[in-house]
Amino acid sequence: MTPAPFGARLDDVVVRFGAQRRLTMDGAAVKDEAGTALDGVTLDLRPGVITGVLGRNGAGKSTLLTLLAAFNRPTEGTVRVGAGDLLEDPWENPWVTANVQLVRESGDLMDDERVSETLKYYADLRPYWDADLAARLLDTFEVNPRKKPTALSRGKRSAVGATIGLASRAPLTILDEVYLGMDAPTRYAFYDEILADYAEHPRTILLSSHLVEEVERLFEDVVVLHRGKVLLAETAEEMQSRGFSLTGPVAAVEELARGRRELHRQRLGATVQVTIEGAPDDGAAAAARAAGVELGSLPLQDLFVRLTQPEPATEVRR
Amino acid sequence: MSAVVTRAERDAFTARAHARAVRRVTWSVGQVMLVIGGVFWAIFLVVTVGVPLVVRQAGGVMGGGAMTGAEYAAPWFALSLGLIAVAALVVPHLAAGGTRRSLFTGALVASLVAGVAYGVAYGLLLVVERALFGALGWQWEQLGSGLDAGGAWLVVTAAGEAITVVVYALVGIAAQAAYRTYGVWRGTALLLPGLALLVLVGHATRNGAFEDALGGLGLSGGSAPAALGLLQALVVLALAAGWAWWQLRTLRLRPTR
Repeated sequence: MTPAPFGARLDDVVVRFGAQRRLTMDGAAVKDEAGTALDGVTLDLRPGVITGVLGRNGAGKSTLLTLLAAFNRPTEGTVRVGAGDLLEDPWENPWVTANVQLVRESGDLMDDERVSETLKYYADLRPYWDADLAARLLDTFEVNPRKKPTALSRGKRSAVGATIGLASRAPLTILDEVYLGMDAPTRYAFYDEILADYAEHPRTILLSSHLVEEVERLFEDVVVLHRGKVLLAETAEEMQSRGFSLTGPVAAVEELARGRRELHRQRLGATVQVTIEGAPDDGAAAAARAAGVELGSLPLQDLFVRLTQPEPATEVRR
Repeated sequence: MSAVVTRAERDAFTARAHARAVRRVTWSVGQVMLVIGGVFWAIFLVVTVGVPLVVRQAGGVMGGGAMTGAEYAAPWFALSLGLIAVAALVVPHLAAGGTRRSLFTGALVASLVAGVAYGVAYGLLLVVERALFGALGWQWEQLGSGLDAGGAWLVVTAAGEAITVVVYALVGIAAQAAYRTYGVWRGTALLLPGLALLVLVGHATRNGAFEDALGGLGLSGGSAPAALGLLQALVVLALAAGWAWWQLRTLRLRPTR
């Protein structure tokens, strides 16, 4: 029996990093800049749903996710993770760490050992490890477990990370840009596996990705981070109601979009698709139909781009 | 099926998770130290037996055995293995849900086991070397023990080597953690306390390169009782364990680019 899905709460969390020179495993020297990765983040992550964690590069997504898995601890503020009333500080807390699986884009594998050895390590520590699922996923992703990670392509390495993430069956599963290097068929197979396993073994899944159009269908909740702050945290349904799209002849769409804040515009010949902020006016659907314009839902990516781009790039067309 | 757990179930789960993680780290680090250490000692067995026979064949006589080299090399070998084993393990361990405490505990147990194994191997090879020198009619002198070849000599020498090996392995683990947490410059500065522990354990057991250097400065352990030296070495071991835990407990994995 697995515990109930884990949720999390962050209160006024600040994470600062100092400048640091470090050596990578292959001997290269890398300089990490000083900075504030998270700046006063207060956030509730609902248990039992798939939450998309979105943000531009350097927005603080990875730092946020590493806090939940106790890879890091906040400079200020509190992080609590757990099920029901048992929300606890994850730092050095086996109750939390054994129930939270973070898979980073690096995969966190043993580079000098075969993939099978890394999987054995995870299997020995993870209380709900499903070895059959791991074997099947490796087969699906066409990964040879006898190879060392260094001998795998970027995409295959990511596939191993995806396998770990799903086979761990952790009540809080965090996938941080795990798709990197995967080709399209593998990515879609991965998304299907997430949904299938999630349906069979309900848990909380946090999914960070830059491929918003591909993964938005998975999200029940969405968190958007920007420059270390939470721009938005709500259900996907609420987010959908923040705007709508109009697709049709240019003149008709212009007429319907007049006076509204435009989030995105895409034109192909005489047809244009415009994404509009806010809810449609009363009777807009009927007016659009009469004008031969299709009224659609808000693409998450358009809202994400609008929220995170510099202000001058947005405009109100009149 | 999933359910909200009670506090008692949570505590039992936590204890099992910790024990599981400690066992796995002990196995992984111990395996590296014992298997690769086995190769190290096998090479020294060949050298210990082979070199005197070759010298004898050439008509020469050896003044000291090859085991002096093992006495110097084994602790540094353990330091390297401690450093490498933790470097390979720390990220997968935390990613697999282990804690820093379980990593430390497992690495400490593995280091103690390896220390005992290295100490026993060292003692046995000394016996082999002494017997070989006797068979060849050569005078054999174990350098640096400060004791004659009486009954307590073997136990004291092997125990001293075992404790030294554990201290070196723990200092290697601490160095790896310091570099990960603090980067190149501060990590290098934090080698100094570890270096002090290496000097102290050499001084207490009266062997190793640092003790030779201290002896050159007239600061050698001298004629203090060997048992007292071992007790001092055990205190240094406790300090080394504290130093390794101090470094591991604050280890942070910064997001990578």
